[in-house]
Amino acid sequence: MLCEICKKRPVAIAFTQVINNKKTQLAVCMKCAEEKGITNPLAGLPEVFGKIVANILGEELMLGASEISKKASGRCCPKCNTSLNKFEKTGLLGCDECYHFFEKELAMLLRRIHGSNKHIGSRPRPRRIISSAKDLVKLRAELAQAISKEKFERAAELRDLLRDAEREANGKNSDRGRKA
Amino acid sequence: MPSDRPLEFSKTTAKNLNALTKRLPHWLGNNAPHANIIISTRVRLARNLAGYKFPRTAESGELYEVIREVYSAIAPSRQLGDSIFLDMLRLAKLERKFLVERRLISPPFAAAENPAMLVVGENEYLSVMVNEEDHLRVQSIQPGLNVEEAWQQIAQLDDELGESLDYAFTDQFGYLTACPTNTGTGMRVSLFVHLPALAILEEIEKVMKKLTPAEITVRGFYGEGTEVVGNIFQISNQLTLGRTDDNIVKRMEEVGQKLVSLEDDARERLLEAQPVDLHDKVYRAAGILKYARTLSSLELLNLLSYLRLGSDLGIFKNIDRSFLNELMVTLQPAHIQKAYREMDDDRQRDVQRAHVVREKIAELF
Repeated sequence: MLCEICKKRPVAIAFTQVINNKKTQLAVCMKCAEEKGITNPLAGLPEVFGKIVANILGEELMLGASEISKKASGRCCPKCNTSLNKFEKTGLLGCDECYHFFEKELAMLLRRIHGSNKHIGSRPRPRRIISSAKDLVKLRAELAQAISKEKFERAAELRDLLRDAEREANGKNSDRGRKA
Repeated sequence: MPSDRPLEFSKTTAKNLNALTKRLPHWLGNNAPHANIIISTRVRLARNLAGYKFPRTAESGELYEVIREVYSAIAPSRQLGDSIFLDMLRLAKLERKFLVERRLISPPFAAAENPAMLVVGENEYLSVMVNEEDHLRVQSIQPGLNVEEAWQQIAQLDDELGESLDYAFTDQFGYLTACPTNTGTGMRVSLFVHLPALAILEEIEKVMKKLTPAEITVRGFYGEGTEVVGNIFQISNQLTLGRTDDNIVKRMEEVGQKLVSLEDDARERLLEAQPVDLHDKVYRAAGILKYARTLSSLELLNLLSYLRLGSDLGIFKNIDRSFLNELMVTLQPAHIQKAYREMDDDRQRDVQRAHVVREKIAELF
């Protein structure tokens, strides 16, 4: 299959969008994708692509990395037996272990879909780190410092801690889930 | 095998479903913020249990284990209060369709042939599908534009369930879901919006493009892959990873506010530019509703859209919004069929629908 833009090079990435029940698909080569800025879903052509579903095999071609070879698509998750080939067809992973087994591929795919592959949202309650009010003040100060020194990774971690603590505090003060 | 034991709530499934058909969901309510344009707000969370295969891969025995685990976590829940439990395998096609119309389950869940459970909380604000694409799909519905309230309610339930259920979660990827488009927060906020003026002015596409389409998706009446009817659109966030829950809540609240102001503006322009045509549309809709002898559900939704617009613009003074919402929900095909048993073909249902509408509307004009 040839790229729909240049009609010369082979397809490396396919996109699908569904708006108002109309499905639009676009398959392009690596070069055109780069030229149009489609490789980063948040830059480039957001007005054209509402939903971006990346094709994992396309991603491999793009990287040209030897460690993720075409053979990888036949590898199966040891727990549920789902292969990348199957995942590509159904769009569904088989179990939580798939996330571990296909970690590299998924890290790329998730970045492609969401523009990020690092979770910064809330955590299940038993995994939250609860801090005292005093610690919170300290954390906030450290966060401000991390931001001013442009230590963004540390800042993100601190924000996570603060958010957990705040959600915990909200939960405790509420009655049947409603904010007091 | 322990999984072959019958589920303890199976026997009461039929009774519970009937109870559901005899009452109305509370999210049809009247006095919600921006309820003239935003009919309802829904937040849903996708969650899976660690150690079990995801529902589409798992075998029957494993799916029963998941149901039992979730059942024992939910049964004592404070958040879900007087909830009812439905064994999906005990429900016929019609009853499943009823639940789709009621916005309690998704069309794929309605087609399920594997062990699955639906939990419906008091007044239908909260519900949980078990063994849909993920082990849990928890949803929270509020009337009007109210992302914050819907989020608060679901977050409390999620916290409560997270105490007794071991959710599949990693620090790197967050909540692990069957489809990578839900990974991370597993959170989808959907606004159910009525945009008749923008539709009449043919500005929907322009407006949707403006709303940064990389993170927003527009769907039809019953969700993914369904048609737009009655000028009602479902607007949802697309991205779930690398964003905090609060960000998504705030962002969708903003999107809602923006849509409200764009539709308000369109209504003003429409009223100014085409007052006669607009009144004509609205009064014709009222006329058909008042006198028609057959009404398909599609036609009803389209006419109700104009009646709703007329009511919002003050052309009709005495129409309750909850009344319009009630007609919208209770006159869908499976709802009619559940309420009037003999109605098993479209024609009979269309006649019955027109009859009910005439009776109800007679009180208004």
